[in-house]
Amino acid sequence: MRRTPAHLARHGGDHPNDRTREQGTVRRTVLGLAVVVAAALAGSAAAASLSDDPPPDVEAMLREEIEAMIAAGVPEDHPKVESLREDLRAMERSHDTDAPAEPGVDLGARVDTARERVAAGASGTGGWDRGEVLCEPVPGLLTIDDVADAVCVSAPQPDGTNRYVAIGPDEVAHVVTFDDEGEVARLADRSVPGPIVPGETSVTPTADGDLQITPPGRPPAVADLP
Amino acid sequence: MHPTRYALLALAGLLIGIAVGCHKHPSFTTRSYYMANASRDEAVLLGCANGDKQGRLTLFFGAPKAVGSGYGATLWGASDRTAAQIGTLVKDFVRGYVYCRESRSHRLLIGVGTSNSAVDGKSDTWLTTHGARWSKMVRDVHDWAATHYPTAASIYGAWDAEPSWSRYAKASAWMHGYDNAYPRRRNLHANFSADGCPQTTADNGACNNGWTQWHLWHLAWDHDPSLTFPQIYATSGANARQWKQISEYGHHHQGDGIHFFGVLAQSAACMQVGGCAGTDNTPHESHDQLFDALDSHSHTRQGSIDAMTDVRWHS
Repeated sequence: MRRTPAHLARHGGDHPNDRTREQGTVRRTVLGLAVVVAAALAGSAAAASLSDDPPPDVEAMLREEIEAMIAAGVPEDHPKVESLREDLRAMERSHDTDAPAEPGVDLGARVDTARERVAAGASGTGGWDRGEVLCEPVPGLLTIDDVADAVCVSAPQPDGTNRYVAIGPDEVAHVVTFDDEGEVARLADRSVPGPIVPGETSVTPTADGDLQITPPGRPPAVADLP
Repeated sequence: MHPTRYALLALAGLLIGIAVGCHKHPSFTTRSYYMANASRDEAVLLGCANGDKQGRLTLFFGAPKAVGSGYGATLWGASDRTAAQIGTLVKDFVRGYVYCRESRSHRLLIGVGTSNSAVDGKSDTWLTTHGARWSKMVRDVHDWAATHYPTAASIYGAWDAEPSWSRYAKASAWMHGYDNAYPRRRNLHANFSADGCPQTTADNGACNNGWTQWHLWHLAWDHDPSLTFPQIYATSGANARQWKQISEYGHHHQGDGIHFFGVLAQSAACMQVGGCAGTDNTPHESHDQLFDALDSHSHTRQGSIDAMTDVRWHS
């Protein structure tokens, strides 16, 4: 029987060469993974830098769209293909065309005027609606269920913002606020005095930006808006 | 390890990196807007602010509505506008863009959009007429742009149609009105949702509110003006799968699969309103989800999806 060499006995049976081989395997694995990761990072950076090159123009995009549709089997004389081709031809011709300026329009002056008026607060939003309005979803804020069977009101606020309010038969007001700087948000629902009957319950904004609610056959009541 | 093996590993890594890192140039990711502001000055400045962009986008106005004695749309809380007034706002946007664009080679393809919300209570005749008036307004604004700013902007229609928002028959009535202006009518960005549509089957399955895959295919693709440009919001990939199945349905049952012209995301609007959990794909995520879904089968595969846009509120 082969006796275990003394150095193996001291190290629990492992041969130093075995440990060396195992450590070498680990090193090679780690190195291999590092190569893959480094190359992946390099590839990603290369792709990103390619995307920083000037992009293809819109005419190239239209050509691609037309070619792709035809390659997918859309007939060349299909109205969709023909209309896009017409657009492309018009774009190509436009480079050789001296387009007449709009009579009486100085684009630079128009932009400057717009900047001045907006900065001075003289431009506003073009006006907020006041009173009952069409009930419709507000994308991302009021769903079709929120406005179902509702009475909807636009209620300008003393601070210049606006509230779009949908009040359902459950006498809960769903409120969205708009301002003139791109701020749009859903505010907390609140209960209002009812009953709310579309076409019969009158809902009007007050000067303070709240709602006066007048159900059929009942005295008006004021509902505070957030 | 043999040097050849290291080289092969490096090549594999490089390919992985390129694939993961590949995306469209930033200027092609446009900004679309929910137009909740009726100020002409603001429209000019909005166009100017987009001078760094080129490609397809949509200016979304609200629901179709009678405005005065005419046809128009809501602007949510802002005052309703007639179709002609909306056309004027779009012209102001173009004027600002033309003045401020960073390169004379930059060009916007602008969809002027309404929706199918709040239309169930309207007669088919009214809706057909509204569609026709919208089509005329889009054509008029395009002709104006083609005359004065032909290198800068082309104008299209656009439509945010969603199954949950109306019965199919009412949406169809509007589309017939828009389409019947052929050959004078412009193409239309079909910025549709596919609420409730199947994600794994393509046999004319049911979507929300009585719509079917056929209804979505027909309005968003089959109608000649429609350039399919759907909402791909869901981070789960659900919307991408829904549209892949609608295209698959078209291929198998109508002999006509869909070519997708772009994707619509809403990540910017989500940030404005404080978040939309699960529906805040970035434009690149929207693009990649739809591209990968279509790429999963030879019947729906397409070489590229060229337009990416991210909608936000303009108030």
